[in-house]
Amino acid sequence: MKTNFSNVLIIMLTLLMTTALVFTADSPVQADTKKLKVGMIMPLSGPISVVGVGLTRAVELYFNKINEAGGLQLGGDTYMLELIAEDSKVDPTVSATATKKLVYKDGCRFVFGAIAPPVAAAIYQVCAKAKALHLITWIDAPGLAGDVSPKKPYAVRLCISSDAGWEMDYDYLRKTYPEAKNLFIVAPDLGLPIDRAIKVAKERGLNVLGHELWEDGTVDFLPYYTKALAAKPDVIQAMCSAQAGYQLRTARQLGFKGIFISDAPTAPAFILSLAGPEGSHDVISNGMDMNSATPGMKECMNRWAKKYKEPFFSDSIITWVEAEVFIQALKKADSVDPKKVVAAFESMTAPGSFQTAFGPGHMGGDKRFGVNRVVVRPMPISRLMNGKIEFVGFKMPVVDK
Amino acid sequence: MQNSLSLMKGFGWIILAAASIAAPPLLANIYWTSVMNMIVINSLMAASLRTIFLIGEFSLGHVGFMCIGAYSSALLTMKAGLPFGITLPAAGLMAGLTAILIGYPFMRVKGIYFVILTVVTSESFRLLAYNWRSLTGGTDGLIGFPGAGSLSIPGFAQIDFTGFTEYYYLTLTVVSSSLFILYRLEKSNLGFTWITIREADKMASAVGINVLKYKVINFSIACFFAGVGGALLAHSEQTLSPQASSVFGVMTTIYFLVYMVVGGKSSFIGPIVGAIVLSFIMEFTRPMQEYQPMIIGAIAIAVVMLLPEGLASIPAKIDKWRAKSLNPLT
Amino acid sequence: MDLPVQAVWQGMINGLALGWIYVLMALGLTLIFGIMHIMQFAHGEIYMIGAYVVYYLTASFKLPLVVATALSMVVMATAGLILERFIFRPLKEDWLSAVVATTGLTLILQSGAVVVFGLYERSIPLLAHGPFNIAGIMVPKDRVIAVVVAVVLSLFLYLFLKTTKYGQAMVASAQNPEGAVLQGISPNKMAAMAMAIGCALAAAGGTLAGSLFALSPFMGLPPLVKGMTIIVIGGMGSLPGAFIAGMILGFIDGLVPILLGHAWAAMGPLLLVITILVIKPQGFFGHAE
Repeated sequence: MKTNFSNVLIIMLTLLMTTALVFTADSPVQADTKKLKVGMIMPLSGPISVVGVGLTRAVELYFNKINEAGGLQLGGDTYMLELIAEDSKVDPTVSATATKKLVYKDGCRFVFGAIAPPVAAAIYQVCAKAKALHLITWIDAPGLAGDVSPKKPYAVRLCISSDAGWEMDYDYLRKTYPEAKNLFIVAPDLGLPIDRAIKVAKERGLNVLGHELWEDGTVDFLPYYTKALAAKPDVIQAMCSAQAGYQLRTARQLGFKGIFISDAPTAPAFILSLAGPEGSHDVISNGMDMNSATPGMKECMNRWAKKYKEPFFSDSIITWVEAEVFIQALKKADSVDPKKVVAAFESMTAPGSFQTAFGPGHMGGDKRFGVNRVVVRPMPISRLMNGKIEFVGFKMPVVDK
Repeated sequence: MQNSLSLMKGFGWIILAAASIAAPPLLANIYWTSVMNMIVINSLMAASLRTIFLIGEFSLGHVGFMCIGAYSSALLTMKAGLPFGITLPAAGLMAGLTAILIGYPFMRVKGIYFVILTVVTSESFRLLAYNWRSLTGGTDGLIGFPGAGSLSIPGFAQIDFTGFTEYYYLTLTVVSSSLFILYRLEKSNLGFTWITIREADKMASAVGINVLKYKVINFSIACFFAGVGGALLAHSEQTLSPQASSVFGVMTTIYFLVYMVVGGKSSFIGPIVGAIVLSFIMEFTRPMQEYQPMIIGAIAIAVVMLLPEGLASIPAKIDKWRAKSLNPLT
Repeated sequence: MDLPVQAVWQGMINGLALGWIYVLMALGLTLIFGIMHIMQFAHGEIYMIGAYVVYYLTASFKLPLVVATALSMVVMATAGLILERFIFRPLKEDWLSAVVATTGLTLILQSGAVVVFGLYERSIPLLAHGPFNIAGIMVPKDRVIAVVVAVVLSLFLYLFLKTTKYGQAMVASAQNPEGAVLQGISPNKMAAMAMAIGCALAAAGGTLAGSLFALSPFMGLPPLVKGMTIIVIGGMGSLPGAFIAGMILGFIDGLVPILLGHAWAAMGPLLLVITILVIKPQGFFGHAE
């Protein structure tokens, strides 16, 4: 048998690959104790990647700010923050693998994430096993699979669910439009506590005529708004949807002239751009009017403009603020041990325990979830009239009911 | 020439086996073990896809049967409390039975028409999982259903499969056995009949072979293993989601096809090579997530236009080239 | 179901608009398939890129929507010609490789779009504002205009195929490829024309959809799957079949969510496909294989 070249080639190739594998495999221990590695799992590709990328960038920008000021002093050591972002692809299996990489390969002990509840739950499964802290970045509705609970020692929620804004929205509605009594709700089919909305509305003298649930991924809202308008409401509330602008446009295209509420953090400017000036009247939004940005938000915007060419994605201030809270908790714990950080969070329940770009906040959630592991911080209200944004102000949300 | 080629093939298998068995302790990292887990499952998907190619059809719907298998196994462990040992083959059976059911109408259609059908079908399975709230949890997906549990071999040992490494070896064992079955089937009389149908189905039916029956058998066996793959996938992370961008979307099924074609559809090891190589490439391109589909797509087009027989045909080509250069007259 | 009649009528009109957009997709796919016998899996991406071209022309160059759409159709037709010449023509014989090539193309175009166009969802200017009030039923003007545009384009296609020399050549080429060659019709020219027309139609469809709904790099895949469903139901290579099936599917998507809810709307097409397959595997108007 003559020396088979192809034979040798196959063997060499396989050996090469195996060697490459071995050498690229990192040790799970944080080799450099002066680096605090924080992981983040967001949809970096796919339809909602705008959101995922935007939210990730804000955290990165905030970490840059801390590093520029010399890093964090914790427990006698100085730490520089490093953010490692992975793609969730809105799929729990992919996210679980990505979390494993962050936790076991990169050695992160804190993981931010995610947007969809199954993904958040998958991340938590891996984090809990590895005793890493899962910082919940986004939630559609409280109490869903990925949320905090006394049974989950390694989960802390840094974000506010949009349902916490209902009290302030309905109050503002009653004050500004006293004749509007009939409300119709158009909400995504994600398990939102619609009963709570109906109760809160009733308390304020509003009559909920009905609700329509649309499924995730809908682009065409016409059928839902057809049914909504058939009930002849004065007010339509588009719950928890970054597509509020499209929904408003659809409503106006069908001839709806009434009041529109969007309780998602989507910026009113975005709604305006989609619905156009003629359609943007009598709109109440819990998004931030960036013309009235606070100094903290302005700093975030400036840093973004210096680093990225895309225009500022206004939802990003949410994670900028989450990063702020996270750092303050780390400082309070004076340690990088996840358990100590959780304890620090739970101790910050007095109003004003931490400062954010939205205003002072504290931890809450005891009455509703059984543990004080949910961030409570001011939410903005804006109004769109005649194609112009009016900033109404900040109000504290209701997290504990 | 034939002799050294098959010797080379034998070598290839041994290296593969050695690498896959030795990798986890060598790498000592849970993350890499889970990557290898995915690669092994992908190999099964690509190989069972190739089984369908034996009858001359392409399926772009393999991911739909994976979905059926995954959800079946997950739900059986969750709601009926059955152990993994039962739900794994049960998942395969569900997928296989579904394949038989739709196989009879679908197999009447050939070529590109069949491909389109499979795409539509698999999307519909996913949409079924998406919309059938009461059964599958809809958009919330299924989280935290029981894993593979543990296996006690009396007098021997108790293996707990909740550990990542143990689960990897379980997957490896199941997939190796499945691949072995598929390989033997291909070389058997049944496989021969399938290939005959591919090459000359009119002649086959003239000789009295019930073409439709054999096609359906082939399709259901291939989908059985797709279901098995799905079950393995489901219990590796114990989470499932029917979103469009999830593992059960159209993209994944395209990737399976690419694995098979890039690796080489003419040989058994081809799809496996394709799955391994491309999975590694995807893993190493993690930092450039947005470019990943582009890279895979470019590789697919390049292979199809320049190297139609796939990567697994490289050794044979090199052999021929060597032979030619030694003897310029051949 | 005691829904107001209004809602049902709105559903039907919405279904009409949706149907016509699907038909534009399906006509292109059918043409390409009928002449070239290649399933253009990347058609959804052509649709998407066509929409983005219109976006850039209207946003950056401030061109009026009509001009921008026309330009986009020309641009995508040219792109189609290039694709046909360099990728599809060499793979004419091997349909398996063509499938892989087109799916690979989909991957490339989609991720390319993300990289080039960025992730931000954008919107093409509205076709019109507000509703028409037809006998008490509010019908959004833009949906009506979309239907009109689609109808006009389809009519052009029909006239082209029926009356012009090239059109008739295409029909002949689809029905009997060998016979057409014998008559001196160049298959390559036919393929190029099919591709060009198909891509132009897709660009138009994408523009309409982008104006009615949203623009995103991922908007191409669902209409593609719908387009393929239409082809199966209507019969491959049959233009009237594509038209009828497109309308049926559009109505299902417009009416069923209102009457029966979304789950059935999603399952409907598959059930239809299976039924057709069992009864008549070639689709409504398909030719026997």
